[in-house]
Amino acid sequence: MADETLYDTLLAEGLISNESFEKIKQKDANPLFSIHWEIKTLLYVGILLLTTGLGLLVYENIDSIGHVFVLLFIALISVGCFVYCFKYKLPFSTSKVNSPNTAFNYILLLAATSFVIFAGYLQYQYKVFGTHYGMATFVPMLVLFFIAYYFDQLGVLNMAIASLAVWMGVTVTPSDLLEKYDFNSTAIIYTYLGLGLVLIVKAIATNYFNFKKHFKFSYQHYGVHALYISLLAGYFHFYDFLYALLWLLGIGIVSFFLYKDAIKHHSFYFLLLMILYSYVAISSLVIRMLSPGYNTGAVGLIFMYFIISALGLVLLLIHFNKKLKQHDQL
Amino acid sequence: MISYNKTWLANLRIREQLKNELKKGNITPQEFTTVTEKYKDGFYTPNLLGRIGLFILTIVIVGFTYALLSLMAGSSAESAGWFCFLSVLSYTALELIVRFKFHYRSGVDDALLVISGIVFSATVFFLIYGDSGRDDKLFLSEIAFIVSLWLTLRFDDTLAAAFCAGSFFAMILFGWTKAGSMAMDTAPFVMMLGSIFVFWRLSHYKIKKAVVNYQNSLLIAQIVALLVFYAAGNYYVVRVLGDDLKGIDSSYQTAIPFGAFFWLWTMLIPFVFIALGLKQKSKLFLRTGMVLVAAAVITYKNYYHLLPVDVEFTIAGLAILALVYGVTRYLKTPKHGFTKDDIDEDIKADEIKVESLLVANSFADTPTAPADNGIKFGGGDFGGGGATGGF
Repeated sequence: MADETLYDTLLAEGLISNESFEKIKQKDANPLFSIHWEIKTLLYVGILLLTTGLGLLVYENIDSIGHVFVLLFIALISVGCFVYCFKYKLPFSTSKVNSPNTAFNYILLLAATSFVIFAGYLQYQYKVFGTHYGMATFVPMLVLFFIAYYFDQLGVLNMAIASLAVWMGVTVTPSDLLEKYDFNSTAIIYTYLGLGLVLIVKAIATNYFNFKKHFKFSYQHYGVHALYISLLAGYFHFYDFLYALLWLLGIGIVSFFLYKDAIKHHSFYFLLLMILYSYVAISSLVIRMLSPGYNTGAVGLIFMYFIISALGLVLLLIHFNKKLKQHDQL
Repeated sequence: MISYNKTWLANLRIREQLKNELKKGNITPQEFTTVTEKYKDGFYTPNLLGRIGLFILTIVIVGFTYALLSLMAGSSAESAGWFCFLSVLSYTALELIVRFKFHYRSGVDDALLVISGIVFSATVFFLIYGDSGRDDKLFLSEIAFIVSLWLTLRFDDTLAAAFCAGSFFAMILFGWTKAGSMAMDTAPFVMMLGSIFVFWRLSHYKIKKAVVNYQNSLLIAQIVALLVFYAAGNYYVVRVLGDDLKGIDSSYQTAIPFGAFFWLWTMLIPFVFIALGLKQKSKLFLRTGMVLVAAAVITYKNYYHLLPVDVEFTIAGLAILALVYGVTRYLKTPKHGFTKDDIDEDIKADEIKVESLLVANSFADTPTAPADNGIKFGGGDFGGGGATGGF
């Protein structure tokens, strides 16, 4: 319910100019009804239905269509989209490059996605790389990173980072990951610790060399999660050894640097991550110290710990939220 | 009645309204800043991330406080009365936080409201029916209605409003169907009439100055009324709910009275809503209608199969994309007051060709409905969660 008399009041108070007042009156006399959201929703639903339907159609009739035809079709989409992108792209720059039009981003995403599907299909059906799964994931990863930087596309960058994670995981334990799906092995933990470090280094380097600076958030986002999760996993994996404390120390170090970075860049998001992951680590330590007794007193103490610590966190969050309010951003 | 500071709420509304004008390019950023300086509020409202974080933490605190107090209370904590006491405690905390710490949609107040509302309703029901093992749905919906009405009046909370409207219609349904088999068969029509009446009254009161602080809740109640209006005549709902209330096993394909009428209703009402939405330029009708088209399709698919699924999907996808393409082409320049561009966001008003609009407007003589651009219609506030199978 818009208050129509508001603008008269504001005009009388001298808070808006005569010119603006007239503008508002004129525009509001002929309000436009936007169906932007409706069209966009229908577009999504339509594309989803069409692609699902076509996918099912191909899947059920693969015998009569043949793999070669399907592969050719996917390749055609990919190449067609890439040709469009190369033709209309803006010149490369080390800073942020805007897309020339709204459709460009979607077409580039379609090109990259269909390329990945093409490579995966090729490997799955014809075993182009044989059993060299490392190579099979390495090549698409390189291509994705190239596309992300060349066309300045964040969505493709996220895909590239994900494929980096897959490649590292696959290279270390191809059989484990594919057959046993075993995340508890130390090799995986060390690998993803490494992944986290690599991503963080990339984030720092991106910032330091001022090369596609706006990519920093993606690197840091995935890097921080990978680091924390692998450190926590390491802690619980070596739970019964003294060595476990080293992993907790690692969490402490990460939290310290993340805190400094978050404050410096006014990022409430990373502050929140820092607080929540550290809280999990500290809480597990507290429970460990309190739990040997297993009596009512210890349970009461644990309850009390959670109430008081959560209250403390609430106050902390409110404090930081107010502190960063002027620079409200991710 | 509302527990928030009314002046601050008014200032929030003014700023929201001016933000829209700023986005449309009607006022300058300097003007926006001066107005913002003048119309301040003292609420504590964090951003979305902060709200989610505080919501989770508050749930943790309340849960462990309940547990600790129960631990200390010992065996007396095993009665429903004890939990009733706890819920009153958390409600008191909610009132205090809002009054003295000025929390407004901060996550803390959301969490306390959800917990105390659900626990209180459930324990009152157990206190009265706990031992007898009876299952009185009418009474349960009455409790839920009273509790959620109170919470809505105090906090204009969308979730409470949705519960309030839902339990109101549940009261009508359970109350009416108590009267026997004749009432059972007429229940769909009673629900239709009831929801029309509610919607009509809500629309009437919504523009009154006295309820200016309850716009969110009233909108939610309107949506619920529209959904109930459709559901009352939806073939699947009528059949399954009817069998359920009569105690018949619904796996038998029993014929329901007025079957053809209900099929017609199921298929036509969504399009009637969309047509109404376009005619009156009402997002409420338009979007509800779009959602209900999906409901109609699912209802139909539940009973009949025309073509293989893949062919159906492909055809439907093509048809929708063709429709989108057609509408986009048609609205290349705004026509009849419609535009395909997002006027609320990032669009400079100059990009929309005003001349063509003025021409179109002089042809159209339909009175324009009050623009509800200022009202959020994303339903994002439902995200509170945790309120599903609470009863």
